[in-house]
Amino acid sequence: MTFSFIRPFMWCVCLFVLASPAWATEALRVSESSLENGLKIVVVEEHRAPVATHMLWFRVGAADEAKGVSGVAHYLEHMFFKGTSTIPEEMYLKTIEKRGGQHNAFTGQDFTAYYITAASEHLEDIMRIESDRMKNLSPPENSYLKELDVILEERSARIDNHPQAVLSEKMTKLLFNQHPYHIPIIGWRDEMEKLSKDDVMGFYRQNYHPANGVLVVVGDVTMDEVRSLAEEYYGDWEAKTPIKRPWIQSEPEWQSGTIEHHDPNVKQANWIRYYPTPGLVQGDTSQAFPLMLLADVLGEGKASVLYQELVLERKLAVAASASYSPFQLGPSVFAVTLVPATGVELDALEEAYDEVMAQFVENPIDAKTLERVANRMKAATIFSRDGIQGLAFIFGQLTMLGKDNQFFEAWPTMIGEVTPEAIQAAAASLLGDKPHVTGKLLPQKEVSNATP
Amino acid sequence: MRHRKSLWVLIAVLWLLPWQAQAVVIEEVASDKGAKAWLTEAHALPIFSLRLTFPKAGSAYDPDAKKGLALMAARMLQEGSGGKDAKAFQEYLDFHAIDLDIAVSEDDVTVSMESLSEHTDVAFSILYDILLDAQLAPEAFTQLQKEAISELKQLKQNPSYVAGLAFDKLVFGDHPYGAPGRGTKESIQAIQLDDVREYLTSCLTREGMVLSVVGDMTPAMLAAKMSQYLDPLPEVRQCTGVVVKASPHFGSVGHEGMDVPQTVVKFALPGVPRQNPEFYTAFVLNHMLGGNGLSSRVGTAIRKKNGLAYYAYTSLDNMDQAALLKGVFASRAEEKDKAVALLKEAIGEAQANGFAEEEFDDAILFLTGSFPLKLDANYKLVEYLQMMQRFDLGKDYLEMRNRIIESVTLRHVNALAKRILDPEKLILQSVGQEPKTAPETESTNGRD
Repeated sequence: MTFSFIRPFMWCVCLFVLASPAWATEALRVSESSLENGLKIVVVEEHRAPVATHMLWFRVGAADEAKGVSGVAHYLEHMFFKGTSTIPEEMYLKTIEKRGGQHNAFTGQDFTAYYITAASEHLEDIMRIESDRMKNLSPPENSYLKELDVILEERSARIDNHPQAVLSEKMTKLLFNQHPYHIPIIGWRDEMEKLSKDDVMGFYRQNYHPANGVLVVVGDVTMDEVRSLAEEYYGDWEAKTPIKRPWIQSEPEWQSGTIEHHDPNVKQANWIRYYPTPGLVQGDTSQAFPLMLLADVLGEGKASVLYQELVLERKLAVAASASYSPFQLGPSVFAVTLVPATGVELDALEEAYDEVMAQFVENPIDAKTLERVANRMKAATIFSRDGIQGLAFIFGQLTMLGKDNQFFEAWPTMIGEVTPEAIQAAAASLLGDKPHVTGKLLPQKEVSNATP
Repeated sequence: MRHRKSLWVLIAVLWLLPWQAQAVVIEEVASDKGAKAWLTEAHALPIFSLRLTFPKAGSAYDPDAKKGLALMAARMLQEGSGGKDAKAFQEYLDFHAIDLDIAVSEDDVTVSMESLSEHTDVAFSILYDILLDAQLAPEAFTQLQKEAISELKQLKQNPSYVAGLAFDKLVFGDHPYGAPGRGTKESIQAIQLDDVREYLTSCLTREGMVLSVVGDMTPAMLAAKMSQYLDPLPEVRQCTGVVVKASPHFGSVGHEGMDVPQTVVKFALPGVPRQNPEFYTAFVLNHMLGGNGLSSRVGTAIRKKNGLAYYAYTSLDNMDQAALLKGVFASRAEEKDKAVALLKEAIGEAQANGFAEEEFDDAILFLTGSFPLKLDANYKLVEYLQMMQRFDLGKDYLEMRNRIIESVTLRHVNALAKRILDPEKLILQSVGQEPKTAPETESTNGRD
């Protein structure tokens, strides 16, 4: 079944080759090309097994939705499985099934991607059916409403059935204010319910064309093969003017505040903090690597600062974590989650957290801490090469963010260049009178005032 | 290719047919004391994946009043060992970029490691430390109890988790499989550090231990590490828990109220034990029934045709003492009854009329054609090696596997369907609101 969108946070600690002299690992062979109609092609060769992932990435996501039609980007992603006039839904699924292919898609705020992985001998067939649905999408009339029901159930499954997800949605909305990131990718329920065929197909016609797309193929293939097939199947895809994405580089008017979310199902209170931050593309991008290391130092595992201080030393929490992903076209969020110990009020926990953070920015991180955190991040680059699907995700995402193989190769060096001072400065940059949103997940049910 | 000296080498049959898996060489390695491991060498990347399973040590073996013991013990293993306290141990792992995970199922405990091959000795010494030199500090234990109880509270907020607990209880009743593997607040509080100590020395032993490694390692290296770091494990299993064959309560239905918009439904039918030759028939049947996403009978009925769920699927669940064909879906509260009716209809239809020729042929094509996708990475291959050892499938299983699938016939599948796809035997556990009595409340947005 289709799972439809993933949060960029999940891809935080992926990536990249370490070309260390101690290892004889070959560098990845990556090549780029493009068709006349603007479709970019990226090929990553990995010949361990006779398999290949064909992945199409589009520079369009939830953030590009017009006002009032939240969820249409993701809804369209679902509708992409509903067929064309020559390859109806059943035939499309059967074609993949008969070839032992595995497929899925997801919608993000910045981009949307569709992939099929199969034995590499089937690459041409895969490309045939993929290019057809990209060029000629034509879902049957009666499929729209049924799929609308499906995405409403998806919203329930991901958000409405989970109080912490509902709170997270509220916090994001408050923090990002009018910036498109304030809207959930799945959409607001009341707007989703009104999405029409015209909304969906309009979005498709406007956004799905070669200049907006990148074809990433990873596996037992070569650029020559891929390019030649791409010319045959994507070559006639009509070129259109690249869409404008006016929200990119727009600076949000951040909103700060505290949100309490009560739900009778909540049995364990949580305290959550969101800080707006730069990512790899917008704003002070020099903060991206220090922030990644900061998240690790502060909140990854039991040796982390927040766990040691709040859980073990002060015994005010039973869990503490921090997360940050730089992989956004727009701003990103540095998130901290704390779970209070029994009998501890969230206010007391927050006060202690503030103290710990104040201490943190005053005291240098020792070299050993930096080294172990950096070691893990660097090694992740090697691990990410085990299996082709991860590489397809990595290279697609990088391309969407305007990065290429050079950035990829330089990743370990960039991690290695982060100094303890830079990490402390990154922490300091979040604090003080900077914008932030606090969320409190609470068990007691109360009548809440206006829902945001 | 480096010349390698190994104790036994079996060369797999090379790929003769396009759909066959690329040749995977599995070498059997033995330690000085005779502990066995399987190794597949892969030197392109300087990493390896390791899985170490202790059978009959899982949560089903927890004493009645101390459910959650195996999980607590698994966690205590990571709270300091080899002379390092918990923090120093974690730092040691981080510094070497070693990924360590200890998973507890009903039946087994599995230690998983992902490591750079340059730290092979460190990785294996860590295995020794955690298994034989765990600190087991009282403060760490008390802390873990608090964390486990807090986690339980958090999990209870999730209707899927609640459905899983209720489902296990409904299916297995008083059998150990029916109890929560994570325990309850009371049972966790009842566990003593001595219980953990006792568990570790009597349940995590060399007897029946299963080890697989895939990656940048040689047989000589693996044998040496096993001899040095794993041979010292106790030789004899003295775990006192007993888990007999389960008798699932087929036909039972249960509902637990929870105020959430979407009802989660877990269901089950009889399965086929893994070592039964009919397992592969069940495997193909499951794919068509609900394993094949949108194209499966269940996926089509509930999601594709009627839009009643985002996820709806089935899978085979093979425990040591029970075999089930399980499934799950989630629908809005008002539609849950309708979705259940569709599920029963799909099951009944498959039982009465079986599966069709084309549907079956496509299933075989998919299951054989997708096999190479499962073997393209160390972390995937190691799971296969582990499974092959656990279920005694033979070293040539990877080469034989597609042929075995191909030998399943539609007649076999439909005969099996008649026996197990019995709506009367269907177990159903739902968690969510009581369905509203007012029908068709969705007409507000103009849909029919």
